[in-house]
Amino acid sequence: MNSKKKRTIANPNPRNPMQAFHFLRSLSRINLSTAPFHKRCRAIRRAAYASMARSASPNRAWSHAVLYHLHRRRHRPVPEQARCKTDENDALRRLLPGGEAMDTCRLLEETIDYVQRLRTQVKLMQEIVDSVKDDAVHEEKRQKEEI
Amino acid sequence: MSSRRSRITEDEINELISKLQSLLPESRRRSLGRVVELQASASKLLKETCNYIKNLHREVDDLSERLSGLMDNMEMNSFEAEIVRSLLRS
Repeated sequence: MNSKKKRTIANPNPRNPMQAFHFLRSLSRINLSTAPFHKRCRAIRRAAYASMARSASPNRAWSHAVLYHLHRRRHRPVPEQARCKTDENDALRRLLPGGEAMDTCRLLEETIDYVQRLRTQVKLMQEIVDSVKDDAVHEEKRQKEEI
Repeated sequence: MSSRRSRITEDEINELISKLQSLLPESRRRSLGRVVELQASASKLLKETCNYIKNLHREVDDLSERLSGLMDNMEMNSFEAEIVRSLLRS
């Protein structure tokens, strides 16, 4: 009973490891094939959105929309259109992949799920950046000591 | 659209709204103020959510750039080793 008292990071969403796996696998594939900075950058971003979509629940419309856009090789997997005077519902519909055809209730559900995957992705990428930087610092130190 | 909405109860909408609210980070939640009129606060909540999502998109872009830069500097082998280590850690 005590374990249910407080949901800490130690008891995360079960989809998170799946998302990490997809993302890291995609990352390791990028490394070897694409050389120029910008191409690599775009490939990483695509991998980020793909791993979010692949680890989502299969009935989520946003994940299908994301994968569809990625498949069609759109530069930006999530289209953000120019701002014009509309209400907040419409604004949210434009931000959420596949949001145009949804009613309000569905829109809210999808948004919640999408935000959860997005947050996980950001945290995941931040962790990788931090640990890679740490490793680089250690490696530099070690090399300096060898000289 | 209205015929569909009659099937969804007021309670369910409220629950979704409060769940969405709980997802926003603390700083954004504070700007929402106290929930008095559901209609008014729902509109603010949606606006904050839109801002939050745009923010997250920007962060993904930014982190993609940083990762790309890091791949540049590091040896291929050690980067892949780092990836495996991260995977085992998470």
